[in-house]
Amino acid sequence: MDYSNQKHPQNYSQMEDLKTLDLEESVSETIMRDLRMIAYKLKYVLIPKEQEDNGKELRNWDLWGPLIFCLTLAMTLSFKADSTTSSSKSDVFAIIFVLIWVGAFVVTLNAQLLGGKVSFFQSVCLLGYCVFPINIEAIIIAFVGSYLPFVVKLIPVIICFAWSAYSSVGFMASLVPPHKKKLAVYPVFLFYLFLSWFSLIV
Amino acid sequence: MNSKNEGIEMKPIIGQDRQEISQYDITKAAHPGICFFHIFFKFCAFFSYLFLGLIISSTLFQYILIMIFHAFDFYTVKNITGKFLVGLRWYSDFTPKGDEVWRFECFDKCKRSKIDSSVFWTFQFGASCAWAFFVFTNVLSFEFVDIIFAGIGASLSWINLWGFYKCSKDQQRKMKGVQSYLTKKGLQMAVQS
Repeated sequence: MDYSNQKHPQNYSQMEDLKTLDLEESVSETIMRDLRMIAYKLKYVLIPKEQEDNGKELRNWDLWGPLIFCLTLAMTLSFKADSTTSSSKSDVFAIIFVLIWVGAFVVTLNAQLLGGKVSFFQSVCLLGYCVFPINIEAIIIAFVGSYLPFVVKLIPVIICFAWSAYSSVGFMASLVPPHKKKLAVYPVFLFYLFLSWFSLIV
Repeated sequence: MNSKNEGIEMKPIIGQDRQEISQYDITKAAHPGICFFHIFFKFCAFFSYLFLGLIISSTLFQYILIMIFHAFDFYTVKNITGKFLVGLRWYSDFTPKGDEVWRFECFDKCKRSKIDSSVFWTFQFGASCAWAFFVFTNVLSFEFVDIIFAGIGASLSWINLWGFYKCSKDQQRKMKGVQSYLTKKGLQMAVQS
């Protein structure tokens, strides 16, 4: 692991030399370190020019980033949902939450069954981080959506969907044998397409 | 005596604190604030699962709060409480070849207080069993949404319990390994001399 361009250790094993420091690290430092790891990984996943090493950084997977984005998306969409009955808001929350995690699980399982050699958690981590553009789009539509015609709302939806899909497809396609690339990539498209569409119509 | 064995370091446990105080006096625990948070988030999660419906009428906020408390509890136990109360940690690492490996480690430098340990293990095990019980009752009564939230709570608690149990088991195994190694060495030297 290249330490030279990283001010902070990116995971526990990089702190081998700093083992005693880890014990003496206060609670607030632990939390800040984890938040910085999440921000670093987010930039790494979503800004393609940061990836110089073909996705090796994703070996330091964590599921906190995906949890935060999933919760934010579920909350945004359920706040925006129809408040005719209180049950439909909580239904939207439960649907989004379950959908993201089960969807990521199924897409990863699909890639693994097609012969892909990647850790289960790395792939779920990547799919979770790539939900962030859909978060952005959901927030935009939640705030200004009621003032815009449908066609104008489609623009951020399409941009963010394309961003998510592009970020994750590069990684997923590299996992499986070349003749099965489309089979591995197609569920990823479906996954983000459904999330984008759901955030548009709710 | 720092031989690395499959990525798990052998570190002897320094002697335990002498206990002159009652086993359950929480104010004499080495880290009372951290003990409090260990219990607090579990309590919040149970409370919001069981009783929040009586306080807040919107089911959406109930769900949000339950999920937040589950997440806080898991994070606290894994990263903070485990380190300070029992001096253990477990995490996922990868070898230079790229394979993933799970590491279970123990800090030798911290002195573990018996009160802290008992608080940690009692509440973790108790919470895990309670969530498992709730999942069971929800499955029997076909409450699907409750199954999700109780199920998430149960799986997170059991995952933490399993991880820390493996840490402590590995530590005990290594201690036995070190002792038998030393015994063999001692016998050898005794035979040679």
